[in-house]
Amino acid sequence: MSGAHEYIFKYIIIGDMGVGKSCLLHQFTDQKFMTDCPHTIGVEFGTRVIEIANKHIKLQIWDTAGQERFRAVTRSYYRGAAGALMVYDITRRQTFHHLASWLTDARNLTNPHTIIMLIGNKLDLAEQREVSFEEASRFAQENGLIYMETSAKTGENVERSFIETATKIYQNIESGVLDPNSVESGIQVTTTLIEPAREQQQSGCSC
Amino acid sequence: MKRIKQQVETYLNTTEECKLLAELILQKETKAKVLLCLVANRRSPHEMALILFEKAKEEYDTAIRIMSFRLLKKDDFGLKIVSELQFDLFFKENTALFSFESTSVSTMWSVINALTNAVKVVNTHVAPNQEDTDFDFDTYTWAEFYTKYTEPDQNLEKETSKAEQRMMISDNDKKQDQTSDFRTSVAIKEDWIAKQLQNKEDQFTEKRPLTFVIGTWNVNSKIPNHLVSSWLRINEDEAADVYAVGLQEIDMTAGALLTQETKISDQWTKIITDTVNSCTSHKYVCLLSKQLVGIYLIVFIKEEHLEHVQDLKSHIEGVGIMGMLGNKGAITCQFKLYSSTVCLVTSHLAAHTGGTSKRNQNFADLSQRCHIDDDESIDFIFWFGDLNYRLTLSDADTRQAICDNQISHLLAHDQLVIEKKNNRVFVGYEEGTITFMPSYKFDAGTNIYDTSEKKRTPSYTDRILWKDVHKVGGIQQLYYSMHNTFMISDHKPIVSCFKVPIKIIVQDKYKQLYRELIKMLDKLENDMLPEIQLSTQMLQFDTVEYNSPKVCEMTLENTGQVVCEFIFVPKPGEDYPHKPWIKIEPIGGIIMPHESMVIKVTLKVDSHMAHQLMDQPDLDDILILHLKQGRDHFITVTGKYQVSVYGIALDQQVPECLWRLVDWLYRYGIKEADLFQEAGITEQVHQIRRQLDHHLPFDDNVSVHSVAEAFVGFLESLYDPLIPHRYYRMSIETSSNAGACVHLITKLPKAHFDTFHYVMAFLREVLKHSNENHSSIDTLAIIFSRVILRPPLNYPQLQANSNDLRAKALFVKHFMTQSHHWTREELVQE
Ligand SMILES: Nc1nc2c(ncn2[C@@H]2O[C@H](COP(=O)(O)OP(=O)(O)OP(=O)(O)O)[C@@H](O)[C@H]2O)c(=O)[nH]1
Ligand SMILES: [Mg+2]
Repeated sequence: MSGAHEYIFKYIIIGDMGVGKSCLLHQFTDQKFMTDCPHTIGVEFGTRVIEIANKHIKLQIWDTAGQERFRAVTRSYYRGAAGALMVYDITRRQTFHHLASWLTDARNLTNPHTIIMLIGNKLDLAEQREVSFEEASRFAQENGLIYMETSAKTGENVERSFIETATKIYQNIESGVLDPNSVESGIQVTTTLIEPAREQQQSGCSC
Repeated sequence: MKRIKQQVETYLNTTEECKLLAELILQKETKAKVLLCLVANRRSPHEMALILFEKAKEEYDTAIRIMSFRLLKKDDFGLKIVSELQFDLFFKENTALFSFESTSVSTMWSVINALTNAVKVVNTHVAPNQEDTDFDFDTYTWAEFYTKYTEPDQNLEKETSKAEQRMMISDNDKKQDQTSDFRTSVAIKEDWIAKQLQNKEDQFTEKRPLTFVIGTWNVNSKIPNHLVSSWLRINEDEAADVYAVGLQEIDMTAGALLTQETKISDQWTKIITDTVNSCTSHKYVCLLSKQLVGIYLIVFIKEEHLEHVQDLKSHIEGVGIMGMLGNKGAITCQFKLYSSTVCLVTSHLAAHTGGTSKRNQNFADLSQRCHIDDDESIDFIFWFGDLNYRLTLSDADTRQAICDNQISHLLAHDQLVIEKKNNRVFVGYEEGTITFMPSYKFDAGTNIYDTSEKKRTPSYTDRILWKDVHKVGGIQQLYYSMHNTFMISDHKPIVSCFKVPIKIIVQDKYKQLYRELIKMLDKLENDMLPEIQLSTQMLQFDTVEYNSPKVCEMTLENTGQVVCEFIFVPKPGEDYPHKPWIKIEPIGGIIMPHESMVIKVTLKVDSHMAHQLMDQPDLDDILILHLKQGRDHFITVTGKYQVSVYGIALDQQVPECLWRLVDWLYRYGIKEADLFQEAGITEQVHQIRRQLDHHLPFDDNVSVHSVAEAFVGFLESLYDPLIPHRYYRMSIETSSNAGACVHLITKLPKAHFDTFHYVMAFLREVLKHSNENHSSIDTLAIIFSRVILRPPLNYPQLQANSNDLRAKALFVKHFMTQSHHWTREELVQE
């Protein structure tokens, strides 16, 4: 009986200040929304174990400061990320315009197989929307990103976006595109000692 | 043989132990005489290998040569005794077979003994957890030496490349942050989950009583010509979940003794298979059927349970002739059924009334060798067979008691009952109440106890016992009986039926609990992240003046639940965690929960940095405060350097401020006692600097010593000293030669040359008033040579010693004694 494999995926969350990066992280790890979330001055950190294809995968998420003045420093955290969530605020067009520069950073500073997901946050404020779903979809398509709109407030699509990204990473491992043992992959592999009771396989012989 | 041993030992490393050396004949191909050598790695004795040495054909040539080398790997290697003087060695993985012949029984015996032990050591070695294999990387590396001498062994290659791979992964790991702790932390978590699951087993398991029917029969080499359903009580209403049948003496021929398995077992397999599969509507699947000479075990399971059987294992151990042959011994069948592990054991133990202690010993040996005692996973053991324990009553009394149906009287003299009661055998096992007559020994074909000459005393040789290893309770014996209708053997068959409480995992409940545990761990982990509160994330210094340290404090409070280890780390690509004009105290530390620590951040611009900051006076930096195993905080430092003439580079002429200082000192201070020897007042020194920067007059009441200090300080602040860095070394070297020193001065850039002479002229002036100001040429030379001749930053520290100090002073002294005021042109002409 060989043990199940456990992976750890490193994620980064990037995007302008105030778009809701920290709220997304908290919603995902604690299922809580923080109305008065202070600006992140530094890099925050959270983990959660999810299940993909019956495997337990631990997401290790780094939430970075969005303020421009920290940009030079936060860039150093991109390295070795398996997934990057690039967030903008659907109610602030500015934050959408800045995506190009965030994307350049993400592309330059991560490995070619890093899955980048575009997230339009604050879906609960759809009536104040300044960026249409279609426009953002187009941007995502042109740049080969997965795209989703979320609300860190209601929790809508939050879990889905994290899991979808992990699924893509996992598929890349399974299909051999991504070598989980390479340093740059943002993945750590281990063999766990136990696994959920399997649908038991027969091991008896027939004679 | 002794010489040969020495020869072999020349091949062996000191870390390798030769466990066996025997001269044998390699059968089949060559009939060559070979030396079989068993070596073990002394450091990890489970790593063993066989080396086959070939001896030279010519008698006179005593050389030996490695002919073959094989690693003994787990479950890959076995031994078969072909005859008294022949045995086969086989390797499953690559189906290699060596047949050996020995010239003496004693050699054969020692070889077999050593090899059986080796098989055991290798097969029972439990590989350490993957998590801590670090020390295990050199697995079998000692063996590489030998493979060079033999044809490439694929297995070995595989083994090493695997080790290499692991090595590579581990190298990668080292490069990744936090990974060193990562594997252990995963292991700890897994351990925690496993323990929680164990504790909460009741929440996700239920017990389902499954029916086990167990039969045992010493058949005395006979085979029935009909099905045995009546013995095993197989019928539609009593269809059991598991049938286990143990037989003894199915084949007692000499051939069986040597080969262990014979055709007869096939006949028994057919009879029992037909029996279990023809009497009910259920289908039964054979889990295992094995023979060890006369001993035979077959186990069936209802088909519906088959997919819940896991980890099927079997041990076969002989304790007969030579303590190992299979005329006596046991066969086990162990498997996990749902979540309970059952071990079925059938055995034939030593015979004869007087053999009690031997039987006890057999039991102990078999328990150990079949790993029944040391396997903690086993929940239930059923041990059945011809255990051969006898009645100690006289034959007459026994037969009388049988006639009188006094079973309890018989059992009071049953060796097994007595031995067990005294804890000499079957400790912890239970046996049901016996309500039947002794099963041994009958005249074949009858139900009459032995009437032959030997007149064996009837005995309860055939028994069925069980052990509830973890004392969970709930095993129920439904019946325990003997069947008189089977008359072919001198023993009667025994059968018993049990309800066994098998643990079954309810998948939904299990998964739910597992998820909850993972969630708990997640929460725990996030809660356990170190956390600190910073009194501020922004350290604002406003203006910072030359050489005036400014301090900001910030308090770190550990608001998390764990000890917090923090350290300021450099930004990527940088060597230091902060710019050179920042000082952080302490740069790292440990804060207990609810405790605080004050961090002192000091900004100071001194002569080394002042010049660089003149064009770009912003003192901005971002400090990264890293919490071990946790988040990073950024701390912004802002400030502005108040640019000053201090730190300038000499460029065209004698700087104005130097002028002002010298002029003032000449006018008001030249007669001041202890000039240049008494310290100034720091605040006044700063004030003078500000007044120089802003071209303001000095304060009226300013102390001479403050002005003197400002003067020396200015010379010290010059970006390139009066004697520029590049001449430093030369000045030291030529200091004793006045001419050379003067010559060196002529090479200085104009501004340095002029300023140097200006300062020297002034010092000569000062010396003229040494009566009043107490100055001496020596003290002035020491004070001023220190600021005029500064070693470059990269100057080897070792050389900046007291010799240098003396040389520097000497250098300056030449110019303090010259009364003549040269111009540069005059000097050059000279
Ligand atoms: N209505 C609504 N408000 C949100 C949502 N997500 C975040 N906010 C609010 O937006 C503000 C900024 O959220 P943060 O999560 O701190 O933003 P951030 O991207 O982490 O910002 P920086 O740390 O400065 O880079 C907070 O006041 C949140 O309450 C959302 O989905 N809906
Ligand atoms: Mg934030």
